[in-house]
Amino acid sequence: MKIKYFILLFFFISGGIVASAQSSGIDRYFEQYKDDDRFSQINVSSKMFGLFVNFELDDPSEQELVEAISKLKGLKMLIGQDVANVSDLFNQVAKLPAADMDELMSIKDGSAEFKFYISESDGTIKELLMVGKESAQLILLSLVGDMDLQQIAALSQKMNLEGFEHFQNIDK
Amino acid sequence: MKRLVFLLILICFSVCALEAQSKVVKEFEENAEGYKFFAYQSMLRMLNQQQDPDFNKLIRDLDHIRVVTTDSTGTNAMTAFKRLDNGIQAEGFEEILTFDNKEYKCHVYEMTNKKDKSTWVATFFMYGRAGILEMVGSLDIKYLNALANLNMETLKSLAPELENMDWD
Repeated sequence: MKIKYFILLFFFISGGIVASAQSSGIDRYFEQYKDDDRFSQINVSSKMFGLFVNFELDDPSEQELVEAISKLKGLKMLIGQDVANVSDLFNQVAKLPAADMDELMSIKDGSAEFKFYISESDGTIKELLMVGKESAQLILLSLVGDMDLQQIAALSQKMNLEGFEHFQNIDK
Repeated sequence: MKRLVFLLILICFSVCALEAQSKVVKEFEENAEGYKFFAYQSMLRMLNQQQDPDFNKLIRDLDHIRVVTTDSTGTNAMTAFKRLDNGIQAEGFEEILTFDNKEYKCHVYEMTNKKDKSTWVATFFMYGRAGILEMVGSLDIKYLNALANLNMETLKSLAPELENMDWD
C-alpha cells in the first residue's frame, strides 16, 4: 500500500457522517478488516469535502470538478494486499450490494475484475460502490453524495485510485 | 508524495480558526521526549524566501503550528498513538479523515465550539513514531497555491526529522 492513496483520498474523501449514509452491508467488511495488517483503509467525512466549497480556480473545468467534489458526503476505501483467497472474497463481497443497489457496470480483464454498483434517487446517484480484485489485491470503494455519471467519470480521471480508472469507460 | 500529504493536511486545517487547545495535546507535549516543533507565524514567514505575497496572505490569520512526536519506536509508539487517538476522541473531537495501514496512520479531527470556531488536530503514526499536529489559527484557502513555491529545504532545516522523507 503506497502513501499515494492517502494523498489522493485526502482530496476527495468523506467519512464519520458517512458511516450512517453508506449502505449495502459493505460496512461490515470495513469493520472486519480494520485491524488486519494486509488491509489499508481510508475514510473521509463530508466536512472534508465541504472545504472545497471555498476553492476558486481559474480553469472552468477544474472549477466544475471542485464543485462536484464539494457535493460529496463521504468516501471509504479498503485495499487488501497479498490476500490469499482474493477470488473467493471478491465473489463473497460482490454479492452483497445486489439486494439494494443496481449493478452499473462490470469489467473483467485477465486476473482483474471490477464491479460498479449505484444507489439512485430521483435521477441523482446517492452512492457509488466499486468492488474489485487484481492479482492478490482486493479493493472496495464507496463514494456517497449527490452525483451524476458525468461527475463521477470526471472524478475518476482525477482520482488516481486503483481500479477507479475503469469508470472512465462510462463516459465513452 | 509526502509533500502532497503535508499540503492536504494543511487544507484540512485551513477553514476554521482555533481557540481552545486540546488538553490531550498539551499533556502529550509536556511528557513526550521526541521531536517538538513549534512555529509562530513570524517563523513560518521565513519559509517564504521568495517573498511571495500570496504566502503571507495565506498565513496572515495563522497563529502557530505545533508538532510533537514520541522518541519510541515499534510497539511503544503504536501504544502511544492509540492513547493519543483515544484521548482526542474522548474530548469529543469529530473524525474528519482517517488513513490506516500497517506502516502509516493519520487521523484528522475537528471540534467546533459554541462560537462556531473549530479546533483541528491530527494524530499520526509513521516512521516508528507517534505524534500529533495541531494548528491554531486559520489559513486563507484562496492562496493555497502559494505552498507550491514554498522552500522545502528551509522547512527541512527547521525540522531535521523531515530530511528522510520522500517529498516527491
